[in-house]
Amino acid sequence: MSQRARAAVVGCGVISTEHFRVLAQHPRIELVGVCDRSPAAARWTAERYRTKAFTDHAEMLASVRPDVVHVLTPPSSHRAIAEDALRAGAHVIVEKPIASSLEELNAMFVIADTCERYLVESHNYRFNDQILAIDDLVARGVLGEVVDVDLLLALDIRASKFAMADGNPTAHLPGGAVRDFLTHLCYLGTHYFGDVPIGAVEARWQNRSGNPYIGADDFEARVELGEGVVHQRFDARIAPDCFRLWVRGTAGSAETDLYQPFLRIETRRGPKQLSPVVNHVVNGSSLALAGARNLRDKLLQLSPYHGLWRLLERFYASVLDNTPPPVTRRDVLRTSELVDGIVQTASAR
Amino acid sequence: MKLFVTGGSGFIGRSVVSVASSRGHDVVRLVRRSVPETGARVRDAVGDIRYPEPWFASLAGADAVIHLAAAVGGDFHTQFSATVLGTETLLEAMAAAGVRRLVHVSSFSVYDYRAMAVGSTLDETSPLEARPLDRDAYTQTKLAQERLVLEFAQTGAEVTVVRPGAVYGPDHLWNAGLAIVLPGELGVAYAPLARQKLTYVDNCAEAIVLAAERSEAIGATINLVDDDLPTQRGWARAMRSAGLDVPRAVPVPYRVASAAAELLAFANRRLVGGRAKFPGVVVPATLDAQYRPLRYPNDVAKRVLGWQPRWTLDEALLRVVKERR
Repeated sequence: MSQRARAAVVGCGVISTEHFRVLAQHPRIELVGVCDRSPAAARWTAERYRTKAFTDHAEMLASVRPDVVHVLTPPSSHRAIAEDALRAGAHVIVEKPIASSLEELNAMFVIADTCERYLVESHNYRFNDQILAIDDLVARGVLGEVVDVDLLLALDIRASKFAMADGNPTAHLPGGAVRDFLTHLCYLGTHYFGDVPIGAVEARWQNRSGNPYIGADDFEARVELGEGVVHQRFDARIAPDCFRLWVRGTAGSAETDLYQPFLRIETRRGPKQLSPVVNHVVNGSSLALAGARNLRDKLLQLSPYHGLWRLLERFYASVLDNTPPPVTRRDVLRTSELVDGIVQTASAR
Repeated sequence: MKLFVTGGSGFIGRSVVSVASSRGHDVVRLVRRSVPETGARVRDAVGDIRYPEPWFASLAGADAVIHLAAAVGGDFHTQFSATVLGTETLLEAMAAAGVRRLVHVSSFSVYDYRAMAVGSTLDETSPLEARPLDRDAYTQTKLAQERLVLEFAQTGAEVTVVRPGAVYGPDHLWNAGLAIVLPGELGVAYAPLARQKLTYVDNCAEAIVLAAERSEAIGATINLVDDDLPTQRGWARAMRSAGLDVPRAVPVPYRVASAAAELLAFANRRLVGGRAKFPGVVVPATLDAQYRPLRYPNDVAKRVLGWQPRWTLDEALLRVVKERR
């Protein structure tokens, strides 16, 4: 492949802005087309990023012959557009949820295999600084064997697009608004447990707000993964918004927040009796530094989406250098398998 | 006339509907949720302007559309969706229904304030913003919206573009023009000697309805501001006289505020490649759009529409006080 990959985007909505932050300035990427059903949206985006506008993705694929296609449309259209892009010879990255079921996802991978192209779901938070730092702690054995992963996503969606008629892109899916975030909870939940089989799943969701457009706005799940356990919660009532992750192991634990980033690590530091004190002093300093760093990042517009920018850079490197993609097929399938298990369990209650 | 009014339950829309019905027009308001305040000549079409069904049918037989629906807050995509995609859908609906008369309510925000010298005159011939990405989401989306409307005019539609200045009324007292209130209740009043491009909501609404009524307005672009525009200081004084609360504020001359914003922008470019994002009041392009001292005539509105602002500033503020009680 040439030294620059030709990129095209289908869907010019909110999340596209974060994709364009990479596509518009990366030296190894050439943005060759954007597509949206709205001619006004397609034109505005094309002029903003100096590329060609299309309102039909098939026409765009035939016209600009992209190497990579970003599918950023509502979930119900993902499969058709992704398969068209694969058949047109493009590698494809799809926003979450990539498919409406594991069965649909398997069918999409069949097309990807036939066309010998990558098919990747955006697992963006996995590439945030704090997650990579915890990955490093796990890899170095600082936390010992991971036995417990706890995720809490608190987001007041009751006054957002999810609370409006036609505003919720996942309204037609079981779980409604919760479904839109479930992919994040599942890829982060399975990430630290290797290839162990997914065991017992307990899950429930409900609509606390009474808003008919939201679907579910409250969710809780417990999943057994080998000897480990994953707890997942989504709550629209808790303030302030947060996306908290605890990874607990046999030798220590780590806690972070993806919205207001910090990293708190508790391990055996020094003599046993002094260890709690040392942990508090070290973590207190770390927290104060995180406050200053977050202020700087806010000013410089470094958002929690920085993981997406890193994922895209690595994905393009894999396409150009013919190396495995940063999110593997196993990652995508395993996430989808867990999502399916949770959806089935929660829907059955 | 049968008038179809988008944004009919909004700040300007309520007044437009009231003026239109009092002038004998039948009004259909496009609203998200029906509210019980409609008059005898007013009925509601319930729907979201971004989506075609089921309100398209309510356009049938309309003599004109007055298009007010737009987002005034939220992030870029929220505003783009409501303002631009909503307009795109409306124009498709008008074409399908054979409705060709449109009064589009735009904004003073579309002008290029940096292209105008301090003290010069901003009128309908003034240039539009040449660097919209330097401006806020409101300006970007209003420019994109106006472009769609002008393209609609090129298809043979009969279009009037009305650009109101800062519209004030009972719940909108143009507080940003008065002072930027800092923590601790103390404010900063930028450009105390600059004229405020004000129009009272009922004056503005009357002009908008006249634009729909008068054939002379077809093809015209019309700025709307009232007579005898006060300076920022005069605006604050008039509000105090009317018994309205005005925050305590330290006056900062335009030149000082502008120089400080330019200095900050320079430091931003030099130190972090322009990546830092600051509030609009310290961003040169946004600050100029809001506070650059200019003159704002309204002779085109008077000549084309036969409009005369019905209420003076003092009278309007007394009405505001009465309505707020």
